[in-house]
Amino acid sequence: MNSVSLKIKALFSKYKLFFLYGGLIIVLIPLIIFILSSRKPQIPGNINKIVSPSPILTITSIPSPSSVPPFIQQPKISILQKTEIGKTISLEIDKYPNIEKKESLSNGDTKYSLTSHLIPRPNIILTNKQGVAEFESILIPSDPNTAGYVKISELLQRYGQPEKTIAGSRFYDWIAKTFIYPSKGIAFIGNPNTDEVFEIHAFQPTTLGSYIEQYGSDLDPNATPPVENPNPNQ
Amino acid sequence: MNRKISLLTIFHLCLIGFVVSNISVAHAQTKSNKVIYNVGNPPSPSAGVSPSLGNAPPPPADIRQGIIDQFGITMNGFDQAHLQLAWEKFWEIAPTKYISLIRGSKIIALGYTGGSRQVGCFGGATSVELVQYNGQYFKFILTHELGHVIRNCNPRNVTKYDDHVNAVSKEGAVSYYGGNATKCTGSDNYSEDYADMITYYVNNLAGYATAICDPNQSPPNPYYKLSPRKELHYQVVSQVL
Repeated sequence: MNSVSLKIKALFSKYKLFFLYGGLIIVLIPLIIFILSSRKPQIPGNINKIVSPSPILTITSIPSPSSVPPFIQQPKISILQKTEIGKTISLEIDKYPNIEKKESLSNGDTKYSLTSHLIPRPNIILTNKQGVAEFESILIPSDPNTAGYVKISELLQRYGQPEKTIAGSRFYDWIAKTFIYPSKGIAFIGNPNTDEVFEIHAFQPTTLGSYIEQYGSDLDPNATPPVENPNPNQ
Repeated sequence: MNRKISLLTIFHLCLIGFVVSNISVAHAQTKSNKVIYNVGNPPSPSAGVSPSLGNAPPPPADIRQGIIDQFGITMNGFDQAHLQLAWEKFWEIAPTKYISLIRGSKIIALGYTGGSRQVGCFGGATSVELVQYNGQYFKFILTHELGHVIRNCNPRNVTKYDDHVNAVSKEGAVSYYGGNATKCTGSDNYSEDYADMITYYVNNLAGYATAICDPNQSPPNPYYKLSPRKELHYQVVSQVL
């Protein structure tokens, strides 16, 4: 026994530096792998990785009609979505690149306008009075080869039949339809003739009426194909 | 001793390299890129030159069937004179991609006065309701209404939807109607601007306006006569057609 322990001692004493560094590697490599795997995937539209501080709020309850669930975190609908509804806070959003404008709304919400691929139509993020993301609109690329491109049929397959479909859009014209799933916190605008999605809305689950009132400014149910009046004397 | 030191040195260098490479990878992944707006390709040497237009052969006896056979477009209720005008116009624009973007359209004739409009896409539904205007103006409005079909019934990467919207933002509307459609007819400015963008490209000689609200009923062609011309719109429509 003594000779064995002496041999071990001798071995350790001869190679003690290697044992020391070997031990460090055994500790460091798993740590680095852990850090790399917890980093979120790169999102087109260029979101810097935000190392968020401990959130001020994780779950917020607000007075609501009995049909509206409490404020809860929502899974992301699109890889282009920048916020997690119910979780991302304004301190993080303030650091996003491409913020064109930040406005305080009369209802106490804050509205962020972020650059999109359409100059006159920015992406929008709304945070509530507590500074937590409650709504985001995401413009979808036109190129099928661009990350984030999605079809109407794909979203219908994923989420089922919408609770309400409204034809007509102020920005996208009479040809567009808005497919609304208020209880799931999802809506999207697209052209059924081409099966293309133009824009996705992510929000706290709510009622149809609340969605229309709070987020439905683009809806134009009275839009019809316009009659053009050329000059009869031409 | 020397061998031990050199092994240690190599080991240290490997460890430092491993750590530094991970830091640089992390930095590269978080580096932000600028958002790039596409508004078409740079002007070609032939910018400002109208597209090569085709010449129509004599129409068949059944012009309506001839248009279906040649272009895949159904025109119902039109008199012979207007079918002939349509035959001529479709042949004129046949060298471009225009026909491929509207093939399958169905156009129904309204009277000889009043308004026209796009109402649908393909697949048997009516695409356009079209008044039988006089002569060359009929061709002008025909291509305008089918310009709506192009925009509303084809994928956005084909119609260059984004490029067009951004072109309007950067250089303004291609026509008076394109900039004032909402107050003129209750239509959408982007939609009318797109249709006029198409129309003025394939009607290079016509000094017409789409809507009676235009104070200038003989405006200069925005690509071939206007100075400065609508360069960004021209780039977009050149790619579309």
